[in-house]
Amino acid sequence: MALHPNFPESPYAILDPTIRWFPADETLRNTSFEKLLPPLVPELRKQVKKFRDSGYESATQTSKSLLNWWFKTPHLVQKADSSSEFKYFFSQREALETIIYLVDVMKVKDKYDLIRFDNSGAVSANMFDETWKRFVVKMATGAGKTKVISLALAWSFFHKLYEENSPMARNFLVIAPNIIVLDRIYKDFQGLRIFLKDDPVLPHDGFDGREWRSDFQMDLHIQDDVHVTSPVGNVFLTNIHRVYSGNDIHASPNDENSMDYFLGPKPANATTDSNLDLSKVVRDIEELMVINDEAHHVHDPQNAWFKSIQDIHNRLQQKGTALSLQLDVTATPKHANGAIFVQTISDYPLVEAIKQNVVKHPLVPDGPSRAKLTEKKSSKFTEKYSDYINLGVIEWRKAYEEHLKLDKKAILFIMTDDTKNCDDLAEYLENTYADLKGAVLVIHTKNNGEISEASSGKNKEELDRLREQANTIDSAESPYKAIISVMVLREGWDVRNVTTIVGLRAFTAQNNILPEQALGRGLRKMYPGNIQEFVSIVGTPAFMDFVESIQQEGVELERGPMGSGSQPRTPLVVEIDSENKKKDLDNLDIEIPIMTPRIYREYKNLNNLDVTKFGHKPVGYQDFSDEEQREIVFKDITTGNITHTTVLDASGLIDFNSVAGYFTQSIMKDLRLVSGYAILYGKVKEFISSQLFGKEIELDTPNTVRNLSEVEATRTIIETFKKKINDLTVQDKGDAEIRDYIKLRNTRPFIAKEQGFIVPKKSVFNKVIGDSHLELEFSTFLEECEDVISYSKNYLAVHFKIDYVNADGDISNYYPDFFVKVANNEVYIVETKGLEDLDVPLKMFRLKQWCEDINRVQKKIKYDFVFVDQESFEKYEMKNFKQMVENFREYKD
Amino acid sequence: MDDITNEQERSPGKIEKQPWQMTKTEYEAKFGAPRGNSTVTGNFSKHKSSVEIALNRGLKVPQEVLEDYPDLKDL
Repeated sequence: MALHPNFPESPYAILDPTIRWFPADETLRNTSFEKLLPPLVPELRKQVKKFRDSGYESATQTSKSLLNWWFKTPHLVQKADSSSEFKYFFSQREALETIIYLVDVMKVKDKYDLIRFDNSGAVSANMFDETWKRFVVKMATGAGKTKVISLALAWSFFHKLYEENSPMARNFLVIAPNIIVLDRIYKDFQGLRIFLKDDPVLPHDGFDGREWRSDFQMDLHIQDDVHVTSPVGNVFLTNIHRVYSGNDIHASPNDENSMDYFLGPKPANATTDSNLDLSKVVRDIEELMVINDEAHHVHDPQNAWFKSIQDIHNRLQQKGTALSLQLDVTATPKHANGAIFVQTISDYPLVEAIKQNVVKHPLVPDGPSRAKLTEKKSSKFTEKYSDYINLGVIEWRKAYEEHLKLDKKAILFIMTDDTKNCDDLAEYLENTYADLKGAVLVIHTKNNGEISEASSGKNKEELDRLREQANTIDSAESPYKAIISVMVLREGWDVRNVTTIVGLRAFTAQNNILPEQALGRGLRKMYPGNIQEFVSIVGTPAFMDFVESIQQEGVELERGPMGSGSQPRTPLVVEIDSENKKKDLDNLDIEIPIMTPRIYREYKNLNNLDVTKFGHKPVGYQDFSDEEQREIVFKDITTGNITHTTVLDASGLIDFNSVAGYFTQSIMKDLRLVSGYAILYGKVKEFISSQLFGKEIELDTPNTVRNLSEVEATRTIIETFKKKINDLTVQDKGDAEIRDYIKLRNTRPFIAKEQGFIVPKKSVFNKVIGDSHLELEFSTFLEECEDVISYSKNYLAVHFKIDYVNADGDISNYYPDFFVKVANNEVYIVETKGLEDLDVPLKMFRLKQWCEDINRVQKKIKYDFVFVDQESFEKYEMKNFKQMVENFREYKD
Repeated sequence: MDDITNEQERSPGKIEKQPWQMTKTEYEAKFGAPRGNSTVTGNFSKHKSSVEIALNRGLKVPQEVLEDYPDLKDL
């Protein structure tokens, strides 16, 4: 069944439970329900929605603070010449909210507490093998499971640290199924970078009155390099093969599911000291949470992995504690029979991830394209499947050419049926296709996917080399453009650039592979942002049948023509039209000067803020009852969403400093101030104590704090300070100098989402895309103007912007819409406007000023501007650009 | 952690050095050489990890400690 028509494309949008994917009736008839939907998830989604809408009522203060920080506080990420906002996906948010809801609100301790969320009636206690608390988070490949792990880890740490009687832990055992996944997690955990640098996992010190970053003291132990110096604050990161519990639990042949590609050594016996001895780890600590990445291996109570965790729990129980939580994250939490792990509490299925462009869209050949493919009657593997191989190479080549424009190397991935055929195929590719000569990497595995010397005939050095090459194949430095393997690489192989998958083998139940795992290596996105990307899948009928079975999970496979003559399905690439011989790029190029900033903020002036002269309207000071004073809720003044809650403790003491700090941070955040906290904090305090209410008031009383939480008071403080700070600190230098020049033809290629475009004759670019229909119409008008030499849309990739003071008095960047060249010494900057915008007069004032500045400091090219409003543009037909300039005079005088 | 550094500067003998304030030699003399055979890419050592964590926290890691790990100088 297709997704709900209202299902949003944004992965950040909050998803109502009623629009989430579920299998249609016809699917249910053919496939057991329990294989498609985790049984606890539907009810949990409803409850968590209520939890979220209530502002996380009944959660602990620590949980509320963290949830508000992660998901309701804007996080700016500084890049080279700009800043952008970082946000967590809703799927990540929902996973954390569900974990917190279950622990804080429902106080789930074991499987019996979880079963309460089953509405299907199909769940029973004997479906749970473990006796400890275990949650499974299901998230599609590429949806950001590592970020969920980092958030859950931080939450558990602070929960245990700050909350009395917390059931959580401050030590963590993070287990990966193999070295590839371990490498991937280690990249994020190295130096605790995911916590301290990369992501806003830790609130800044002072947020909600806690010293989060200072209190987050963590030691990292990798594999068996363990040296516990503190009973808390330890992350043990390892792969399962390095774990043993000291009870001689050996891997059995049945563990093949946990022994995949690029293995480290098999679990050694107790006499070897090259393994992580969990018994020693548990000896030194009292609290532990286990996190399993790619946890679909942990399903069998007989396997070593499960037994190791069971042993940890038992050992902790002997000490009077217990394993606090086992958190499993995986895209495919399924048993061998296809049933979903019943402990799954959160689900972000592949069908939703595809819709939201979190992963690539799978593309398969349409009927006519498939009809051209036949298996040849030959005993030679490559001859037999030459049609399929050739189609794969053709599709890969198309993708390769397009992505090369963006400095990305598309990768072809072929799955065969045995290792001999791997080698034959590699030779065939290198001899048949010149662009694949010396560019094919072969990975030998046994039928169960294990790589070892026996299977490959390679020594350890060679294996390490292979592993390194497979991990770095995305980079331009790697010579490889194609990978051949017997076994699909089920997880952990973090190669993003696979654009084409060719399957030359059938998968049977014995292979224990899921369609999502087969597709999984080609699903990760290559580019950031919400751009649609594709992975083409071709293969034998048996392979395609297997892949297409993923439609039962709601994934709609797009079908398209493939083969010679068909167009590549790649993102829209906008680039300089260098290949077009009909264009004289020298003549079409437009040169734009970059001026030094005129508008800046003088931070030292914050000292000059005089709160006695703000001139605001005083807010009434009310007397609240004892009960009203007890819970104090601060709401966002524009959205009404709860941003901050202070709950009085039993003694009724209130930390006013925390409240003043909250206001100071809000002001700084809104104004994007990077310094001046201490000065501003003092001013805020002074303002509240003597000016806000029109009289002197006592700060450290519950009644005052209660008054401050009223919307009128909150708004007065924040908006007054913002205006006064802007008035005081935003300065105009009075002039500007030329710092540099931009030549449009030097713009680097960039990708854009699929949208309407025109193919211009009068632009250096190959395409003109528009943010609106007006822009495309305007572009068409410019094409037809005889007096226009060239024009261009001011794409972000051009990096042309002008600083200005916006309606809030804040410094902002203005990106004009078009450049139009009417002569070699005359260029116009054009702003086209459809919608009402308060900032338009300010932008146009600044643009006029910019033109005056530039014309004053140089005479080579005259710069002018035109404002084109949609209504007039559609009403009056201009014959040429000169006529437009003469008639569209708004903001000129 | 900044306080500890300042304290260290005021009375060097008083406060015990944190791992990230020790050179690799000092650290291994006190805690022993790396254990096991780590196979993560780039290999792992606890001392290097503690230095990297300190840098990511914005702490002032002594120059002589950074000499042991030139690849961390850019952090």
